[in-house]
Amino acid sequence: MIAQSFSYYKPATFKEAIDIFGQLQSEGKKPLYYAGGTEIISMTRKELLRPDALIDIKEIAECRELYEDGDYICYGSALPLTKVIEAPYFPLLSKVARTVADHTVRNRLTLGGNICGRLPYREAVLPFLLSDSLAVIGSKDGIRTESIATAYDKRFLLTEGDLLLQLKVDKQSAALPYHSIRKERNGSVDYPLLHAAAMYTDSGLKLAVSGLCAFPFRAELIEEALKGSILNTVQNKLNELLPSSIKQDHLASAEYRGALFNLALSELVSKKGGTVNA
Amino acid sequence: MDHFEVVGRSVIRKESPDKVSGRVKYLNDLSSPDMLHAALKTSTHAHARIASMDIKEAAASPGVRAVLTGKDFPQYLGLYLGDKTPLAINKVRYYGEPVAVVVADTKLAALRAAELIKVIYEPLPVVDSPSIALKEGAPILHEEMASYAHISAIMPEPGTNIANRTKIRKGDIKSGFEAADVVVADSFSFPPGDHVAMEPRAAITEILPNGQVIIHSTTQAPFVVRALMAEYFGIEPGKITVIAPPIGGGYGGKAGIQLEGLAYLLSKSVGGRKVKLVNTREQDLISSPGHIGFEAKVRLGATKEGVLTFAELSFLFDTGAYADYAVNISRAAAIACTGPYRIPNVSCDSLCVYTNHPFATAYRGFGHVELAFAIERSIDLLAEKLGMDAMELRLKNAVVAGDTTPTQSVLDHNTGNLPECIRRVGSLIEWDKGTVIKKEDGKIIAKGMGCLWKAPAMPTNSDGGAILTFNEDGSINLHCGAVEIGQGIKTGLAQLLAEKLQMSINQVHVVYDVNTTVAPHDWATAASRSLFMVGRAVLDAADDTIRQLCHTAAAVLRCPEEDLTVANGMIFVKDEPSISLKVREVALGYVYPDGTAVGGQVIGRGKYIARRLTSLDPLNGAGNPALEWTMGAQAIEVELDPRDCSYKITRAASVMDVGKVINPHIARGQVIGSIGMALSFAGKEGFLLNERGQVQNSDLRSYKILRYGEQPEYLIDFVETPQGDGPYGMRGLGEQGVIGIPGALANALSRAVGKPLNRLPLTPEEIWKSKEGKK
Repeated sequence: MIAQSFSYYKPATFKEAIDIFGQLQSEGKKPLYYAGGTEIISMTRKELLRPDALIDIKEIAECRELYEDGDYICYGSALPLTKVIEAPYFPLLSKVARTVADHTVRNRLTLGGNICGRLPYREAVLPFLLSDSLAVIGSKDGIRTESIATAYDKRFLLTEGDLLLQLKVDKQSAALPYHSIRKERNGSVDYPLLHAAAMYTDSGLKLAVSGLCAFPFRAELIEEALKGSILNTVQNKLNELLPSSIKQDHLASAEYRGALFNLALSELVSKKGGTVNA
Repeated sequence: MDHFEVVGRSVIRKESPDKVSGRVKYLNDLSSPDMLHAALKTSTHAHARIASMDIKEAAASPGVRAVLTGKDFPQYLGLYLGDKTPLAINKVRYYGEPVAVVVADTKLAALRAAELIKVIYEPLPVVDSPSIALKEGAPILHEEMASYAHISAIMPEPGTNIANRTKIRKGDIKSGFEAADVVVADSFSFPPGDHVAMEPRAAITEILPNGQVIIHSTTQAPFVVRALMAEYFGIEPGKITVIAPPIGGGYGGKAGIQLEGLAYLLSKSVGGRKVKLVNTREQDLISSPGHIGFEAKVRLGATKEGVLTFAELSFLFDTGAYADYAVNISRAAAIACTGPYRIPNVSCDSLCVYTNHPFATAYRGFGHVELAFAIERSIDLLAEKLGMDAMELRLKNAVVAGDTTPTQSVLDHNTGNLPECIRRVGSLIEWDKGTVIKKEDGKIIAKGMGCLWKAPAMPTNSDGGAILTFNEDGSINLHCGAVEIGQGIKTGLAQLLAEKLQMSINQVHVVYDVNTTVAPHDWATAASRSLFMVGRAVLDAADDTIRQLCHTAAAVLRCPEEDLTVANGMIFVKDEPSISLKVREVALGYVYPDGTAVGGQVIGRGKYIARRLTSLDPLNGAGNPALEWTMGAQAIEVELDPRDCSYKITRAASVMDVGKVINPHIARGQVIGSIGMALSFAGKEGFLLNERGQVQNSDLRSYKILRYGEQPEYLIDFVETPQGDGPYGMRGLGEQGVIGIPGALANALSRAVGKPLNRLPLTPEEIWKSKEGKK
């Protein structure tokens, strides 16, 4: 049971949602966008979070959609992961999203919630970081569409009150060969110590990583280094190529995470062509 | 005449239809409009002085009836050692310790008010392990220990952090050491954790105007609760009624006394009104007691032929902030300290030590899963040093009838056949096909074995009782004090009764709620002793019933009472079965055709009290504390990836000598459940504590337990060497299946990586560090 009181809104449009957010903020309140609630409920229950208001985005049409749109596939941010996984368009996304939490939780946990949440893993973003994808963001000035390359750095760069409505992925990149490796402390239903996802293009391997550092990232420096040098050299100078130091916490040491990453790199590189449908 | 043969058949549990359809009412399902609700405020520090506590705002919060703090209840409670007040006074000793409680009209109002209580703590140095607790200059966590009440069987050492020390001195260590050609010495450990029973603990208490105290509790031990409530609060025992409904898993965590004392005090503080106190999952994990942590040092010696000559053992049990029930865990571990091996010279100091960890209580296996981990690892280390097969070394030293236990009591002719268990488990796991196999893909298949023994660790006067009453159709109601905790005890007892009376199991009705005012006395549903002890009482009650039925029938049938017998719903002359009456014609009194009634109703009474148990000699541990020993051998097969040391448990085998299997499906289920629990314990579980002693995984999102999809293939078998005094020759088997598993798993993984793995949980990282030679 959550003891604190909060107000609850269920707007029908994103415009309404953003207005409510702005209004509440101007009243000095702390609103949160709410969809699946798996993170908000568990954190509020532990008194780690005290929202004054929850703005439920599940009724907003844009956030519920899943459709093909010309060269793109469009995923609404309030889609439960289960729906995202079952959609046939983007095999790597299905594979990666399937590793988050367990089936019962994935029936509630949403794509946008996973990607914009407070936990440091946000694994569902990895496939989007690897493909030419676009973020559709609602703000008080209307809807804007941005390339993920500019919209994401360690996390989505959203102004407070902005709402991620959709993610669009280019069909061609969604169909690229891929491989991914996830490692946990001991048992698959747990946060990742490492989750490395790769896509294979003519110009080389693309790599995105969660669990290793304090945030998920596209490993561009490593991608570049792999083009020019042999694997071993890359593995020996990881510190220079990662965007931050390797995480050390109660789940695992930085040393072990680093070892897992090196093993994963070897495996990803050895796959070369990847798998089209794992 | 039908021969029912109910014993030995997989009768479906009587409660199953209600359980699988969600109709069983657990304690938190009970609700009434007059009920008040309580919420706990718990400590955010592991060790701190409570500098101040401000309850004003909470007390003024809407719907609040009372806000109470430790100072309101300056009363020590405890089962074996009274070391704990219901709420912390002046200082907190563990993260999650209750410091205040709110009683309010609704749960919501209580929770809201609890958040408004302001506590300021002044942190104190944290005692982070039992070995640190024993160091010179370590903070003394219980300065008042000398004043604590305790039972005579335990020996606290005031001025230290030792809540109990049990000493075993058998034979002569020095000569054992001299006789040894090979000696191994090593250390073993694991952190404290939780049982993770599906149902969190709860209590509902009210005090009626006439003084009657009614306690509903998720308890495995309603009679213990009654006795302790009477003792601690000076209530007449007859004025206390404890009601124990079926509970959603106990595993020892609901034995002893838990929330009942506090719930009673809360009711008292609001004029006796009914108060419900229910743990949240988080509180059930850390505020209420969990499983004990452990540090052990083992020195084990053998001749070059592999004959064990001595064991020198030091066990430090990490009981956390309070010892209470756990003082008996360290004692039980001393009693069985060597594992089921013939060792003539034994020295063991088994200590229950205070730390600033969440406190501990009974956990399935009760000290044995701990000692067995240390012993079974040591046996493997010794086998390796001897260059001997680990299974052969176990066979060579397995106890048999005539050997003595560490407490110097002789194993009688009822002793189970451990060598047969070892041989059978070896063949189930295909030990002879190799214990380390390298696969083509680089993975390694490895096997490990562990043996077990366990006797109930219980008071010498532990007892059980049964009362049988009849219905008009000749069916029987079985009343007893054993609590249904998911183990299927009511079905097992009904099987014994149906077998004895040669009647249909469907004609035996069981009563689920145990009510201490109505049910016959029973020690507790713990120690794997219920089917044995209450079973004996049920058989005694069945004999009493037969005697009464035959007595009345003898008059009606005009034949000698001793010529009559009962079966298939009939009372009849043994050698002339046509001379008979129906049981239902006699059970509520026989009525002659002219209306005259005789005999009256039959009420069967049965009882049992443990046979010839004694206390231990405080100097050397000599005594006879064990009712019956269940023995067995278990084995695990793993498949390990040597690159990152992740592994899969592929097969788990278990063979125990249980005397007689009463219900094969329930028995198999108990053993599989035990193994799953032990694999979880050994591979995943344990509190993750930071340097300030705060638990980092106090919810089920982060406290990981074995999931359904991670279960191995189970290979379960039983040996049946009858226990002479057990019902139909049976012995207890509820806990035993956990005991050998952590050792077997660690042995398999150690073999896979070629490095000793002596610490739990066995996470891939821990294994990898050992393999790579990292600290």
